[in-house]
Amino acid sequence: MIASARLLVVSSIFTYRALFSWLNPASYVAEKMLFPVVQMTFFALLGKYGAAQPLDFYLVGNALLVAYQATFTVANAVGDERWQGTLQYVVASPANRAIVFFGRGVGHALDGTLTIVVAFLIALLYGLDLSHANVAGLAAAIFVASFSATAFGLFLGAAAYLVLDANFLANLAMFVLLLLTGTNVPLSDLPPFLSPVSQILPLTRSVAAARMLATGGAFADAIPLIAQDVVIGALWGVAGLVLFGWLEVQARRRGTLEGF
Amino acid sequence: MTHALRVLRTGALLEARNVITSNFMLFCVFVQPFFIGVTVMFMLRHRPDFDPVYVVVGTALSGIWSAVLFEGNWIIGGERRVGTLELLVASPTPLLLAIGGRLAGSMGFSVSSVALAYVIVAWLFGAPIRLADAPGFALSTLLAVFALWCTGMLLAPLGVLARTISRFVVILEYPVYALSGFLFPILLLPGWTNPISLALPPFWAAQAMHMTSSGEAWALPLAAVWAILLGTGLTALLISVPLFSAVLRRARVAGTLSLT
Repeated sequence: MIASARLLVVSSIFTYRALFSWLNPASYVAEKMLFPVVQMTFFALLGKYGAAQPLDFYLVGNALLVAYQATFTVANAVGDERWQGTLQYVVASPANRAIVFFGRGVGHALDGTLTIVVAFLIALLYGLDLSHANVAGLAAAIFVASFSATAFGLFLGAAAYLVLDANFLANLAMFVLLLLTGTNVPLSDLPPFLSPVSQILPLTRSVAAARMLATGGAFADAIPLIAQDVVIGALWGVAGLVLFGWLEVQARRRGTLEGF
Repeated sequence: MTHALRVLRTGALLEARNVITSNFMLFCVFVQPFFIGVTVMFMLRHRPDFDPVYVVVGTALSGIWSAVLFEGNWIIGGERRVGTLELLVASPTPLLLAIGGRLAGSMGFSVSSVALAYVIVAWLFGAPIRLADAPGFALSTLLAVFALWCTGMLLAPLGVLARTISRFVVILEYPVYALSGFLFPILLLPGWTNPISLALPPFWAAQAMHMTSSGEAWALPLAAVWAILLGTGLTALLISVPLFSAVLRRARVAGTLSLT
């Protein structure tokens, strides 16, 4: 148990420190903090111009959507291991694969939580009214959003071994989340055939829960939404682990670790 | 003159072959504008004064600007990465021409986002598209592409002369969408940002294309907007000349081109 916990912590720390390509002050500030904030600002202004929903609808949605940064960073951290030269060590190691795999995400999920908090603080400057907010509940929604987005990133990182471009997948995921999670477009406005996609994406329920809690909704009412996002996130994470495991078996069998 | 045109043409053709196989450029020119166009259609279509052609123009400009921004910033760095920069600076052909040709190839490719934006709005949403002044729009598009190419030429040497600044280039994507009024009027922005908008070639590009596509009058006549668009573009190009000289100086005199 202690050895597993240690492995999780070590894997998290080393993944964050060694496989995070934005871990220098200029890149961190630009990519991790400023980019999501300017994107949130743009879509909040666009929403204000469209006037289909109140400004707070767009501010809360886009502040929470900043969680996609964790998707992006962890997808690249996992997907780029082949280019970084660490994949063969992971595959050859006798360490528990699930702990190592999920350990890849912990640091990014915590870091992602911080980014969402910063986005909410900026949103306050834009006029977001949190005077009636259920702060504890909102914090829970933010935390869950970051972890479920990270789990989604773990899946994308594993999938990147098939499509060979983690960056492309993560960018694509960002725009899918932007359109289909109810962040900028109410789910009821989307064509019905897109509804199943919205339902299996992380953040869809966290965004709804955050909106409810930001206007003073009871935490108890938001718990089902938050709990469902936990389940969705966990399923994406497990799917990523299964995919990674399958790819590992195929690579060993065919000797194609560098090329599957 | 013939030699210069030949260099530009060769560079453009080479780059066009390069970008149509680049996942990143395909993302910038097709995937991102697709999602932005669809999201914006959902967000703006409830406005009483909604004009679908406004979304077509704004979406297309977003695709062209993303290509200019990223390609402009990375174009010289890319030569350095693949080891051809030394050959380029040692050749008697002016670096500005070689890079200008390459950038023109990217720009030519990025203009296809105009067609994509049309398809999204007209076909996907079934919205009627009518150009108020088709010849004017064609000329506006040509001038806009030229002015944005000039802007890219300004970004290109900055990408290697000031690498810290170039790390922040990624965050210029959405602010320029907003400051240039691609998808909503700059009246939504604080007054202090207006002088920045007026100094940007993309702002005048958007103004000219919106005026000729929707037929709406603006504070200045169309001919004045075209003149300013051309003027701001040429200013950017003029500023880029000493910057290209600085790049060459680093390569030939200081010998530090690969070190900074």
